[in-house]
Order: sequence, then structure tokens, then C-alpha cells
Amino acid sequence: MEAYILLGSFFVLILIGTPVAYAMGMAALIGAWYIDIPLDAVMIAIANGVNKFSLLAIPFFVLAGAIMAEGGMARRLVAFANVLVGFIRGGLSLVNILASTFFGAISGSSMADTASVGTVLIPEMVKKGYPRDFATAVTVSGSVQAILIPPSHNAVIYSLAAGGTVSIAALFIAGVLPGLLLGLTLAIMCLFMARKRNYPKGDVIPLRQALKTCADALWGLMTMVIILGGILSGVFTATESASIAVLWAFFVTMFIYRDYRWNELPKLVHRTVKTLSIVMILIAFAASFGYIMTLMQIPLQITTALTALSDNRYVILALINVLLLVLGTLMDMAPLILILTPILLPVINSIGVDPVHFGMIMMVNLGIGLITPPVGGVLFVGAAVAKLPMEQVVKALLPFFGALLLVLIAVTYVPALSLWLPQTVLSR
Amino acid sequence: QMVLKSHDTHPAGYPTVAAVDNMGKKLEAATQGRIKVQMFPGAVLGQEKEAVEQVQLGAIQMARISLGVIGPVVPEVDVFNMPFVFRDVAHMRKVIDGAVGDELLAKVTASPARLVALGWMDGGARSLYTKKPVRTPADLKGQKVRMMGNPLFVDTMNAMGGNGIAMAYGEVFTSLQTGVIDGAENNPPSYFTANHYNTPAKYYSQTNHLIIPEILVMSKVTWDKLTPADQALVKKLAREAQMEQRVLWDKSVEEYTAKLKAAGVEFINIDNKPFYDATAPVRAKYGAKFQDLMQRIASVK
Amino acid sequence: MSHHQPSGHPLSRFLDLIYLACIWVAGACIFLMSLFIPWGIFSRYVLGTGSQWPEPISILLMVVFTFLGAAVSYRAGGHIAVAMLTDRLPAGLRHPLRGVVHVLMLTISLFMLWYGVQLCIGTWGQSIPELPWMPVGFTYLPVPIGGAVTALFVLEHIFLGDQSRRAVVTFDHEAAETGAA
Ligand code: NA
Ligand code: NA
Repeated sequence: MEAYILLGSFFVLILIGTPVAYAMGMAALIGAWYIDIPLDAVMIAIANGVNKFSLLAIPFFVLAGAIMAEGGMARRLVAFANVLVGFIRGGLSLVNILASTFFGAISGSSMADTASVGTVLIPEMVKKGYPRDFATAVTVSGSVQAILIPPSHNAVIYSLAAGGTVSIAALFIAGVLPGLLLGLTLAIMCLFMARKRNYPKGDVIPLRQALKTCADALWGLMTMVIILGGILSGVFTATESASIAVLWAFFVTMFIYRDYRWNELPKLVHRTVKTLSIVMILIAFAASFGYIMTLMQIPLQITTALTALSDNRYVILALINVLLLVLGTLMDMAPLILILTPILLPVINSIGVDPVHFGMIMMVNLGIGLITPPVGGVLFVGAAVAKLPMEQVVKALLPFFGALLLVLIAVTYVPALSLWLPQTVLSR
Repeated sequence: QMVLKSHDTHPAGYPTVAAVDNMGKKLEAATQGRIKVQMFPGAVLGQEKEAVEQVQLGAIQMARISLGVIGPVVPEVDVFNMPFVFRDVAHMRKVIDGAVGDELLAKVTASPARLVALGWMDGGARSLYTKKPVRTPADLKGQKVRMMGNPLFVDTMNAMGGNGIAMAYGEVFTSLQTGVIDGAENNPPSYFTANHYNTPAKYYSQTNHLIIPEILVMSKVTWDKLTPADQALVKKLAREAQMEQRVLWDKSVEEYTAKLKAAGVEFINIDNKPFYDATAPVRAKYGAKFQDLMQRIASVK
Repeated sequence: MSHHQPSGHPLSRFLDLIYLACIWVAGACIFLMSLFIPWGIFSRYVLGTGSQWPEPISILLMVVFTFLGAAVSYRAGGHIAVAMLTDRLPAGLRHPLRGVVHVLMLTISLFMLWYGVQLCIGTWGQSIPELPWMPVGFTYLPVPIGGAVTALFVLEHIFLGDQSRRAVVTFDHEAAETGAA
């Protein structure tokens, strides 16, 4: 009964249009009142929801992503990708995906990825004869790479939600192959669609210009070297690396590329305050929601129910995938990681799945959640950038969901995909 | 029926959790099911600071907490944070079982913190684990060692010869692995369960520099709802839990020490006198206000 | 609605100042955090022993920008909500529902204000171990302040209409939104 009150009020509240964050807080209040917990306790949970070291990576990586997206770093990565794959049939869709791979390697933000790559490439693709909704679908699904390919603040959050027993370095490296697999799967699909629908080829870029483009993009790609190199060599921690990414992105944008004007910075600040606080307040209220859930012992019930259904690890993993996909349609990534990791990790441990591997499963699932309706931050941004109604983007996305599910199945059932690289790199 | 929700940051099965679980079973039996304990282990309701605030409100009824969160309200308990304030774990147990322990519990209960201190729990002794073996303060030179985020602990490490680094607990594992830090310090069970032995930090030098007991508290709101007879019963069972917990603790230290050794950790038995001497300025600086108390602790044989 | 012109109601112009103040304080928090954490790395290498304040101070700044920024985002209509159902309802149902949501938003903002103040008072005498001079209550202040500002913006929305298309709010719009996740 308690669970129905909490979850029921949450669903009713979001259906009538209450902002999701506040709906969680309100549902927590109702739940607290129902099980006779002082409402002050809900307040403590909300206030402490963002009063956490583990969350520092979010503002930094998001800010770095915003600077890279707006300051010309992203545009240069697109140009670089164009040199490499633009001349193939359906080239621009491949450029789009490869640009997201590059952007993912310097930022952990799928939204910044969609915004920057989409702003440059969707109009360009439309001009060259690609349907607008297809261009948007490619952009949106390709940007899921950003949360898998390191750096990824969601991996940092997962590690810390797991109590710090899962290495952030291992998670970062674990994301490389699944991220590349995702890019590759999408690219293959685009190649097929391009051939069937006869999408155009681009021109081969002359060598001199190609070299200049590469040199230009190098400053952006250096970000990856600085972040990963710094973490793996022990110069700084993953959280600290995020702040270094901000400084580096700012330095390159303002002093090397110099095409972002100083007087545009206030706008960047305004935008960043809004996008960040929307994410952070969700986390704050999600904390109170999770707190009441715990007091009602809902996590325990979920664990018991899951393990009662089966003791086969493949079945349990499939069930967890379904759970994550369903919740991912409704909620944002970071709060879900914070709420679900402590619930699911004991189950995962009991069936002998490596927590690093499970981290990747979670990333792919919740990454899909970012581009599914009704609540999908990246989907919203993609539709806004493309100036298309969300429904039309979702329709164009359908085949891409298929590709993403294939990747999800591969990541879930082939542990080596996640574990081989970190085991090789980190076993010194 | 009354359900006492009890919070612990340690995971299920940990000695503190098991002792309070058993206390709950006895309480349920003794009250014919009128009062029972519902355990929330593994920090699922929040970190200690939030947990204490919730206990103060009566949202949670009991919690096992470290002194770090009590110190700001009852400064006297900070005396236990002094490096080498106890000669060894046995000395610490004598102190918390005796007059000093009782007095401090009473001080917590009497403070404006709205908490009732039920009893002590044993957190064992914290020792160093590092990449390079450490036998003397000189061996610590240049080694970055993670300490709990409190100026006192960082100064302690600096005095012991190393470089104290305050860092969130959740980042310690990765930082040991990548080399941001060269070592950290904790008791053997935590060294194992936090996975920190699975890093280059494989030398466990038994400095026993910090021996900090923990405390079991109940919400004042809840306490006032109990009859005097029930209050006495809870107090009595808490004392039994205090005694039972240390038996479990010793067993767990033994068990995890064996596991650590099997995993290739080298335990280094050292003479900690040089470290004791090196930290005298820290005790002088932070312990000035507890001189009497430290004298009394030292005189417990 | 008649309140979308850039000038706006005098009260809204006053709230514009609060709106801008919140944005600039939140922005300053993000800016300072981006300097403090690198300073922590720097000091670890240069001073040998790390500084202890960058981390707790940065966390505090994060709390400040979260709760002030959330108020700002409410006024800018930025918070994520599900419009699937409400968009399909007839206007006769949609308007009362919107009223209900306003009331709920007001309730939770006032809850943050009232209980937030209680929490600040209740924890003012305690300090955080990392920064012994800082009262815990101080670290909770952003919550009631954010609640109060949000409540003001909700009341403004109820009585003066939606402000999310006024020039002061859309100042930063021209480029596409970028964000987290
Ligand atoms: Na990334
Ligand atoms: Na979604």
C-alpha cells in the first residue's frame, strides 16, 4: 500500500504536468506523511541530495561540454570527421556519428553533443538532401556515445553511488569498446539506409585542407589525452579531471581558437546556470524520493522479487534491463543511477556479475532513456535544434532504437566487451 | 507495536550491524513483540551527518555513528580523535567501559543534540597501508596518505612524516590504483571490504595511530515515548550489544587479516613509539582543552 | 495573455532584478568552483599536503547554484515536465489542471522555505568537520532562499502570467540549449 501511495502520487503528479523534479519532492512528502515520518526529514534528504562530493563532476563536465559545444571545438571535430568519412555514400550521416564519437571522447554530455553536432550538421544534412527527421535521429542516437566513451560524469556518479569500491578509471576504460560498438552499429545502419535511399556522397577533401583541418581539431582531441592521461597516471582524480577539462576548454576556446567573443560569455553563464540547475534540482528531489522509498523498504522488495523470479543470471539481467529501460523513459540519468545503484548492486553481486560490467549495462540502458519519450533530455534538445515536433523525431528514431537494443544485448551478454580493456590496461 | 528504525553506514553483517540486529531480537523477545528493531545498513538512508539529523528529528530512531558528527555538539568526545590517545585497543575498551566512557555518554545525552547515547561500539585501530613499506617516520617522507577530512587527522599524518591528503572516501580506491595517493589508513576489515588492498598499496604497517570508538544513539523523541522500564531494558541490552560487538569485531579482524594476507598483503609489525613521539605537537595543539581528560585516560590501566 | 511585452508589470520588473541576481550569484558559484578544485590539485603538488577547503567549499557552491538556479529555471519555464497528457486535454480541463500545478509548486516552495528555515536554525550550532568554523545551518541556507524565490516566481506566474518569453528571460536563447546527461 505504501508503495502505491508513493509511486501513484508521483505518476499522477507528472501526468498533470508538474515538473518532474518537484513531482518527486511532492510525492516524497505525501509518502512521508503516509508512513508518519516528520516532514523535516524529507527536507534533510532534499538539502543533502546535492550536498555531495560525488556530484561535483556534473557541473564541471557539463560546463566543459557547453564551452566546447559553443566555442568552436565541436565544429572543428565535425570538420575533422568530414575529412575522414565525408566522401562515402551517406557520408554526412557517418560524419555525424563520428563527430559524436570525437565529442564523446572530450565530453560526457550527450545533450551538449546533440546541441553542438546537431546545430552544425542537421541544417547541413538537410541542405544536401537528407530528410530532417533522419538527420535528427542520427544526431540524437549518435550522442549516446558520449556517456559511454570516456570521460563520463555518469560513470563517476555510478562509482561513487557504489560506495567507491568500483574504480572510476576502470569504468572509463570499460566504456571505450561499448561506445565504439555503438558508433559502429549506427554507422553500419546508416550505410545501409544511405544505399537504399540513395543519400548523397560528399567530396574528397584536398590533402592540404585536410591536414589543416586535422591540425585544427588536434587542440580539441588533446582534451581526451589530458583527461585520461591525467587520471591514469595519477596526476589528478576523475572529479578533479573534470575541472581541468573546464580550464582546458576555456583556454583553447578563448586563446587558441579565439572565435568565441568575451561579450558572449554572460549568455553562456545564463544558459549553463539553467541547464545545470535543472539537472541538479532533479537529483536533490530524487534523493528525497529515494529516501522515502528506502524507508518503505521498496528496494528490498524489488531485490527479493527479482531474485525470487529466477536464479539464472541471464534472466535476471534481462529483467534488470527491462526495469532500467522502463524507468529510463520517465526519469533522468543521474538521479536514476543514484537511486538504483544501491538497490541493484547486491543483486548483481549475488549473481556474480562484475560491477564494472554492470556499470556499462546501466550506462547503455539509461543512455537509451535519454532519447526516449516522454522524458528524454537529449530527445528534447534534438527536437528543439531541428525545430521538429518530438513525435516526428521519435518516429524516425524507431530503427535506431533497434540498433541501440542490439548494442544493449551485446553489452549485457558479452562481459568481455566491457571488461577486457580495463583488465588489460589496468593490470600493471 | 513500536518499530525502531536503526541506521548504520556499515554493510549488513558488519560487527556493529550484527550486534544491533541481535539487540533488536532480544528486545523483541523481552517485550513480547511490542518493540522491534528494523535495520537499515549500508548508508541507505544517507551519510552519517544526515542520519544524525534524522535521528534528532525522530525520523529514524537509532543509529550507530562515528564521533566525527558528535564532536561539533559535544566537543569532549573529540578527545578520542587524538593520535595515540590509547595505548592499544584493550586500553580503549577499559576506558569506554569505565567512568570516562559513562561520563561522555551522559554528556552526549545531556547535550542539546536531542540524542540519547546508549553505548559504545568498537571501531578497532587504524593503521597505514601504503605502496612502500613503512617502519619509521622517515619511511613516510614524500608519501601522500589519504586521511579523513578533519584538520586534526591531516596534521597527524604530516607529523607522522607523510603528506596528509583529505579526500572523499569514495575516491580513495581509484586514487590508490592510479597513484594520486600513495596510501591511506583504516582497520583491516575496511581495508578489505573497500577493496583498497586491490591496489598497489599492499603494505599494512601496524601503527595503530588512531583508535576511535563509535557510539550507538537513540532519538530523544523516541526515548521519551518509552516507559522507564523499557528505557532500562534498552540501556541494558545496549550494554550487552557493546560487549557482544567487540567479540564480533575481534573475529572479523582475524578473518579479514587472514583474507588480506591470502591476497598478498604484507602485515608489518612495528614499534610505534617514534610515531607517538612525532605526534606530540598535534596532541599539544588539539588536545590543550582536554588535558585533564587525557590524563585520566592515560591513568586507566 | 497581455503580459508578454518586454517592459512588463512593475512588480515583474522588480522580480527581474531578483532573477538576474540569482543567475549571477549562481554563475559566480560555478566560476569559483572551476578555480577552487584546480587549486586543490595545485596545492597538493606544490605544498605537498593538500588544501582542505576547496572540496567542501565547492560542494557548498554547488548547493547554492542548484537551489538559486532552480528558481531561475522555473521562471524561464525550463524544468522538465511531461506534456503528453495535458496537451491532449480540452482547454476546459487544461486550465484548472494548470492551476493545480501552480498550487503544488507554491506548496513545495513554501515547504522548502519553512522547513528549510527550521533546518538552518536547528543545525546552526553544529559545524562540519572539514571546516570547523562553518555552521551546518549556513550550508543549508540556499534551500529556504531558493524556496522563497521560487514561491515569488510562482505567485508572479499565477497573478501576472507566464514570464518565460520576456526579453530578460530569453536573453540567452539564440543559440541552442546545451546541457547535461
Ligand atoms: Na564521454
Ligand atoms: Na526517457
